[in-house]
Amino acid sequence: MTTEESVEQQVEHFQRDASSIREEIAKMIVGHRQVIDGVITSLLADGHVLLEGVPGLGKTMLVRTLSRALNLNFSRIQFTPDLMPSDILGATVISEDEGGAKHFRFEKGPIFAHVVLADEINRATPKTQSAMLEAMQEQSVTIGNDTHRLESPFFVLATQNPLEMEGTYPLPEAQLDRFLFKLNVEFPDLDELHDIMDRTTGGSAPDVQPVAERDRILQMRRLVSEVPVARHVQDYALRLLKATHPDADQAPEKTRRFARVGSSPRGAQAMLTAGRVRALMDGRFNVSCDDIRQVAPQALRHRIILNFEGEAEGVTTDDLLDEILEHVPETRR
Amino acid sequence: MEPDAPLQHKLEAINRQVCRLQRRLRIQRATGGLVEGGCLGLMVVAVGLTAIRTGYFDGTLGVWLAAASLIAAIAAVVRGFRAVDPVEAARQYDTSHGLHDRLSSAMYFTTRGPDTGLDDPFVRAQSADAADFVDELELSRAAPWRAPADATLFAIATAAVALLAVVPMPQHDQPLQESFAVEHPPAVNDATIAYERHRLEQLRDRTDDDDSAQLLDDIEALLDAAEQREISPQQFVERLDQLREASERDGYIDDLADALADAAGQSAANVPDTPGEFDDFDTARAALEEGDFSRAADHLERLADQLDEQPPSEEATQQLADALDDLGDRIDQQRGAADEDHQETTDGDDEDLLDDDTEPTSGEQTGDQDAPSPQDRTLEQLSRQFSDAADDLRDDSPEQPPPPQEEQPGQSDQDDSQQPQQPPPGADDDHSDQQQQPPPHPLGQQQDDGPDYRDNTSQRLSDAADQLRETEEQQRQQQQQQQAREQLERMRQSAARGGDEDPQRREKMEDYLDRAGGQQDQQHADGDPSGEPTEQADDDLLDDSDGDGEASGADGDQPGEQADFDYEDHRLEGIDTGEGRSYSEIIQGAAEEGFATTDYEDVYVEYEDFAEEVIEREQIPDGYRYHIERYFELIQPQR
Repeated sequence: MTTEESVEQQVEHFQRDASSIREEIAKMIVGHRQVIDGVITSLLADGHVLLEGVPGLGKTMLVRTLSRALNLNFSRIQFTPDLMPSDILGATVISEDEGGAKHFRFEKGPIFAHVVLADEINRATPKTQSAMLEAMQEQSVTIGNDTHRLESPFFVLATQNPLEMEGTYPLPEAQLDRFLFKLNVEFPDLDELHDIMDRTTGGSAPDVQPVAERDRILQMRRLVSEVPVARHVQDYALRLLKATHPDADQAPEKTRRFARVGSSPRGAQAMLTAGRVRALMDGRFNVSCDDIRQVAPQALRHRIILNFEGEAEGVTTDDLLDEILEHVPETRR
Repeated sequence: MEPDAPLQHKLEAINRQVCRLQRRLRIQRATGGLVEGGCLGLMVVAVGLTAIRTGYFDGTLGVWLAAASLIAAIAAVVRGFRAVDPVEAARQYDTSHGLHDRLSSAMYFTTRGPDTGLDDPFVRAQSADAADFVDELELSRAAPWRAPADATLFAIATAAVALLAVVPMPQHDQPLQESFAVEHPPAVNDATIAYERHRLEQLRDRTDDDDSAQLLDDIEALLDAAEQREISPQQFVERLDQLREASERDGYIDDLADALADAAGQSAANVPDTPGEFDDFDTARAALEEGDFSRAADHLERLADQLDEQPPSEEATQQLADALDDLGDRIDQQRGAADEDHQETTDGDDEDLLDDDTEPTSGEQTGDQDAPSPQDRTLEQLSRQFSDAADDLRDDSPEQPPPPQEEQPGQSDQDDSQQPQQPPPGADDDHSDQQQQPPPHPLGQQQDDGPDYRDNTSQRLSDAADQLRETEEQQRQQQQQQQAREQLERMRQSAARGGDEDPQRREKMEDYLDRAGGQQDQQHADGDPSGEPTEQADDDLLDDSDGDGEASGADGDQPGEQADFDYEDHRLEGIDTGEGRSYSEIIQGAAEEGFATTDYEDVYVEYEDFAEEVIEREQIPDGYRYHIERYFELIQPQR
């Protein structure tokens, strides 16, 4: 792909490559279309994804397949309570050269990869969890006086188990806000289970081929950032964001009753960026309100904090977002 | 950077489509606003129209209301016709055609987007992408024509205003309707009321007593109330009872008549013989025994004149004195006996009165329990007068009081107090005056005509005669009141039977009464002594429920013809033997001879109807009821 391509051609190639990535992943991952799209969207929107689901649903396989399809470095970090930040970021060690001289050398941790799987991130201590903050936001790691840049694309996929909550440390709001999407990995249906059984218990596993390179991913990211957003679409995203706040005028009844804190402006940024990706993946040059509506649950569900009453009533943030999407009109009246 | 011609052409196509949609949206909004404002205006008009039609405001308010409604409608139209945002209109295309905000984004980028505008390749690409869908745009899909949301409300408001303009409304300032007049069920039927009125008129003609006249007035007022149904049947009966209780009087006249009759009888038995020259005394005593006060007074007056004009013999004088003395003693004895009887009667009445919570008697009103009753006073006066007359005849001593004519007028009252014949307390003043001031007689004439005792005796007898006349007058008044009370009793019985609402019966009754009155007048004109017999005949026809059949002549004839056709009683006996003419033939014959102006067939029908009504209304024994029905069968017209 050359730089002399027209916008139309760029969008066309974007759509084609994204589709290729999706199809390649689908070779290994049965079903979970929304999760796959969400992961690809986050990757192309330069964001990170928090996957939540019970064990055994293919979360690790999804990440591994993605890195293989994109021909990117992949590292997996299994978060445990005794995991230390240096175990993630790396540490300075004393090394001896050929001359016998000893000097300090920075040994990179597993975070220095293009695709990082933070498995069961909520089992690490907050200290270790916070070590991910700078890397996720700034894409850099500071050890002592040295700051080490993480090579783009840097894509973190964290998983957490919603069932085994004992001995876990829920992610703080600040760290949750760093994730572009939070994707719920649902249990596959019967047909999907059949496919899983056929693919995994047979003699040969599907072969995943790289369909995109690192540079292509970065090129696609740049194209995403160039997609213009009309004001009324942006206005819709912002009104959705405001509606997540219990004290806002646009907030519906459930939000007023069960929400304690609404989304930060990062939620609107996430919706608009993800909307751009969706528009390009759909071959369009503009972001529509429908794009915003489609990505809003994934972008906002982990940014809304329920109050005690909401927790006690068993209300989820998805319930609040359903009502918000139903009550907030696309056009301001 | 200027867009290329194809893109510019496409953008203009987008603008045209959006402008068309804008116009349609404005028209639709203006229509909706017109309907909305019309609803508001119609509601205001409805309220104002109601206020005007009910008189709360005058008609000038209508102009203001019309202006306000017009302004509201215009304001709504202007508000609806306001400009439509092109991006909003373009988005309506996007929504209706599923364009994912292509047109709206293109409109935004080309009109109000970033400064780069079409210089941005992405914007140009986006605009070109949106323009590819222009040919697919359909105005009817983006803004289909549909009825305004408030069209139903507008129709309802229009109908309501039309209804308010047509339906008559009451004025708020008009006087309130009169309260509901309570119309009670009839206490007595109209025929009975008409008949009772007729009876009242007859009684009024024969009444000269104020109390009786007042009672008749009260009865008529009660009839008026019953006729207007202003009172219930129960109230009618209660007022009848009140009138009857109020009209109850001390019936001492009857007791007085009985006492005088007993005294006269005893006197006649004890002193049977009086001188023949004093037949008037015997006649007066016999009249007293029969209760005929008027005749007794006449003969006593005649006896007084006889004593005044012709001196009797010594023996006759003595016998007359004994008879007078005996009569006075008997009357005095009756005074004590009658007092006891009357006391018993009064006690019984008092108990009844107490039970009925009515007003006390006159004696109780004055609080004078020891005061003599009117009956005692009358008996005492008569006894004293007869005894004094006897003493005057018998006694010629100089201790006799000087004759009244020798008294000086100025000494009259003083000397009266010293006279032994002074009337008892409570005696009538007029009577005292008559006793104290006899007619003046010249002295010489007195010496020529006889001794003074004869003047005194005649004066005593004359006073007794006056006393009896006064008693007779009171008796007559009491009889009138008794008739009024009987009238009340009849009305009470009619009320007990209830009333109906048949107007024909009233008309028949009035027509009958008119005919009866007209025939009476005709008989008056013919010189027929119609007074009492005619009215009696009416009473027998209309109200006589005893069915004794004794007044056969009057019952079968026209009212008032009893005196002229008494001989027909003898003819009626022939019916039993089958001889002679029938009742109907007799009556019809009388009619043919000019005694009647109405055909007998017509009269018979009316009489028969009225007789049936009376039979139904009155309490008639079954045996008599048969005779009455049989009578009318006998007199029915022969065809």
